[in-house]
Amino acid sequence: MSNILEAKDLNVEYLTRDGNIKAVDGVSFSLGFHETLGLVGESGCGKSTIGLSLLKILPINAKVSGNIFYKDKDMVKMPDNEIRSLRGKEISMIFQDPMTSLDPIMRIKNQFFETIRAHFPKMEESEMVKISSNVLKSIGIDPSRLENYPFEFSGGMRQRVMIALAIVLNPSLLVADEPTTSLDVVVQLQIMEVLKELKDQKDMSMVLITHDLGLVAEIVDKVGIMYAGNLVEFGDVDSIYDDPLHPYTQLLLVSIPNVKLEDMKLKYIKGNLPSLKSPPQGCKFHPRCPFAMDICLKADPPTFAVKGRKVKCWLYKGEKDGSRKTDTASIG
Amino acid sequence: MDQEKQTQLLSVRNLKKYFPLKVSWLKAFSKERSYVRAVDDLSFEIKYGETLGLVGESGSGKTTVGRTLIRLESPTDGHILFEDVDLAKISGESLRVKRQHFQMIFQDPMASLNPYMRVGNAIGHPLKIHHIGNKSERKMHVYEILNKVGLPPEEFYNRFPRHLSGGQRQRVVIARAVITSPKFVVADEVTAMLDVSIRSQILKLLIEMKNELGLTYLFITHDLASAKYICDRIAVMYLGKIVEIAKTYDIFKEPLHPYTKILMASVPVPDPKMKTKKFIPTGEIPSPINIPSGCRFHPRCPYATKTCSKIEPELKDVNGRLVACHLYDQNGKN
Amino acid sequence: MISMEIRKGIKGLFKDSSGLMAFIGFMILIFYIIMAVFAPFISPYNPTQPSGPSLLPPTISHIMGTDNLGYDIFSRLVWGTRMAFAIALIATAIAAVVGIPVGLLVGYVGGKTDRVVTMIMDSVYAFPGLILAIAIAAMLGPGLLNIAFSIAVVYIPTYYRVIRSQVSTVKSELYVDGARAIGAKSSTIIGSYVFPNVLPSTIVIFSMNLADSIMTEAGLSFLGLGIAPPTPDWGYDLAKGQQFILNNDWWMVLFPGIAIITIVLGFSMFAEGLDEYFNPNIGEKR
Repeated sequence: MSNILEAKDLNVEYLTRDGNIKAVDGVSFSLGFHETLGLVGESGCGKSTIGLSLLKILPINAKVSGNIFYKDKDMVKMPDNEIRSLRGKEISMIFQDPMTSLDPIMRIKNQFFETIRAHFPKMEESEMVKISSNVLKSIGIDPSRLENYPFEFSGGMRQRVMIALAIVLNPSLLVADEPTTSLDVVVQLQIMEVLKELKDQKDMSMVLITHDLGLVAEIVDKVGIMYAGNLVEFGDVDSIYDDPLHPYTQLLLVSIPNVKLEDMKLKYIKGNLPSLKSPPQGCKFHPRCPFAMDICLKADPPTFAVKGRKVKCWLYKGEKDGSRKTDTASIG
Repeated sequence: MDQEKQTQLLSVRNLKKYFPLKVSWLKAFSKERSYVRAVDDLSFEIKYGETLGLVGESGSGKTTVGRTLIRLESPTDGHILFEDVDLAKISGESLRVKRQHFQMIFQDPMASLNPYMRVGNAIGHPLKIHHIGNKSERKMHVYEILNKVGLPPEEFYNRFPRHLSGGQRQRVVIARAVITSPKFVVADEVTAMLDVSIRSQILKLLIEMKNELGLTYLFITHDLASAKYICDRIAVMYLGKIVEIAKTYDIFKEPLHPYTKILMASVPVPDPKMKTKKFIPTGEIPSPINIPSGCRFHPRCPYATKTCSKIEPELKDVNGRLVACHLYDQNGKN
Repeated sequence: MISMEIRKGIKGLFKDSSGLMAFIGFMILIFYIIMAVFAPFISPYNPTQPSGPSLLPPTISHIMGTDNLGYDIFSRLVWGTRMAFAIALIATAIAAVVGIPVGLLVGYVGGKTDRVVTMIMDSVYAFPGLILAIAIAAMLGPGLLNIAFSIAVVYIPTYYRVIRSQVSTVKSELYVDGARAIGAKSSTIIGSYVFPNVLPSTIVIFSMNLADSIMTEAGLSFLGLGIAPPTPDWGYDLAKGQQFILNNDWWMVLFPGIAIITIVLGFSMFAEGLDEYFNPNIGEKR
């Protein structure tokens, strides 16, 4: 067992009244123990769906195929009661909106107790208070605030409470779905700092789902770039940021606004995000891709292994060393 | 002085917008009422053809400023001199007729279009309201503007907003805002709700529209980085007050106010090697009901002194820039 | 309201196929509409003339039997459809024509006007519907328009409440701010921006109220406050039949009863189906 998490050819399809939507399309990735993975993409790319399938809490109209191995056990085929014993204890999740994820009429204390009791029904209250206090303290909240209600916390503090609730049982895997998106810029940074400290101190793997390539750069070990249900590039963080292979990754990196004065030219990716109901033929990125070739219009590219990374792009067909480099300077 | 006045399109003087808090009727008998001081004594100018950025966190009052300037809210006090008219003083029909000269683009493109109005009618509606041109002229004008914002009119004129993506809707909203060739446009967090790869497209479109139609913008955002590309000057707002105004170049070259520095530092940098511990500010923006005494920023400020908690700093000239901070009291750097 | 209860029940039954439900409701309504339109051709006898022996059980010549005066029940049922539709449509139309504009205006203006009008409407709404209708009908006396009017008064607050609450939500939508920002007049804002967005819910209440007013009308006629006999009317027939139930003359009660139940069911199912159709949040096939 070398990986805590391994997804193999994961497909998720939502059945709706007017046609099926393929949210996740043949995604494979792996995550080692004590590693952090950043799943990055725009709306509709399937990143949140992957997050939900890791806890098996997809809506009932979702159809899943493929495998997700958690500690070598396939969660897709796992019975519900077994999954339930994993949720919260082994794998837990932080959601985007801290304002709605906490029960507004329950003291923070009781929300902790509820989480703990779900897995340890016989635990003494004093023991639970001790555990909860320690967790709160570790993420920078005074334990006396256990008596407070959610509305007595600010947005950033609420998200800290959410994180504390998620890690109170020392899970092995933490899934964070856009944990900072609804927060202010300054607070966003504070929460990222909390997550970074958690990563250093705890024996825990993390999956960070975000649309912001810049935000996760400092904290993740591996990065998966998603586009329209596909994992278009997957590899370790340094090489992806230094030398992005997939045209989408390249464009995404240069189009992030920065504060450097010498860089005043606005760069962007042309075109719109594809419709999930009727995605383009061939490579789903080809209508927006500056390097699109004939084959891109016709056939969906397979995933090539280049420089220890995985890239889903025809540009790398037959490449072993990845010596071919696209020129991003001309984009913009 | 006279000449200076002529270059200014908009001149805001001591603008205040307080929202009364709802109190229980028992307490309503006492004379003291509490207010949310969303905008607290703001003064600034916008020159013809200029883009002024208004940057701050949520709760800083920046959106209220925008809404008050175009009179979706009535100011509690102060003047909004728009050319030779004080917008704070007019209302009713005279205000309604004036509205073709100033427009607003809202944050949420999903919510700012009437779901039951086709794109073409929505864009042409301002022309119809202000009786500009006849029916066929208006339609031609809408076609023209649709082309300009990058939506082929044949395809989009008769569509309903629900069939459009977020980026396309924002283009429609921009088209509607500029179709009367307004002199002044408030752009309120126009890119915040859009996807990363669409944001820069919309920023580019705003810049194009400005150059083509000679617009003047107030660009409201929480993101200093995107303000850099479009703004000539930037005003940083904190809890209803402007703490610093300077040319965009100066702000990015050297932010003076500690809060500006914090905002600058909180822009994420896409570089995994930046793992060194950088300066992370503590605390969060307080509620505008209980505004801290003295300098509003002092509880979070790493440089705060005793003076800061007592005396509220005024916007003062520091090396040709305006900063409201006691650090620069001796008319120079600390 | 009775139709509310029925709606809830039906919703449970047809949870997964609102389309089918609306279709069944629609078919029932079509059935009755055809009956109303072609009443002279369908009914075998004159409904206001004795056509055979009295209290005749269902036979081939009188498929639903005859009543105590020898009137053919089937013919009365067919002609009664016209009365049911006429009163329901007129009553609901009056209620809509008053309730919708008032709701729109008051909801948009808000403030003190809102508080006063809502208080009045709520006090009408709080009154038991049938009792209010009885009181008004007793005051006005029998007659088609009077009945329709007394039923309409009961349903004005239904429109008002739904429209007003919808308007106060829509009013704070960004696109209404947008309309103000482009300089639209209040009348334009209400007409082009607010009304289209509350219209779908009016259509649903409209078909719901049709069901309710048929029930109320039958109730009024049952109590003798409805259309003057011998005009065919289901509620009146039902009341008359009830007097003979102890004689085992079941057909006099059964057939008008079935007619009332099925038509109300038809309207309710149709309304429920429309509601699902207009509700954009239900998109998944579950």
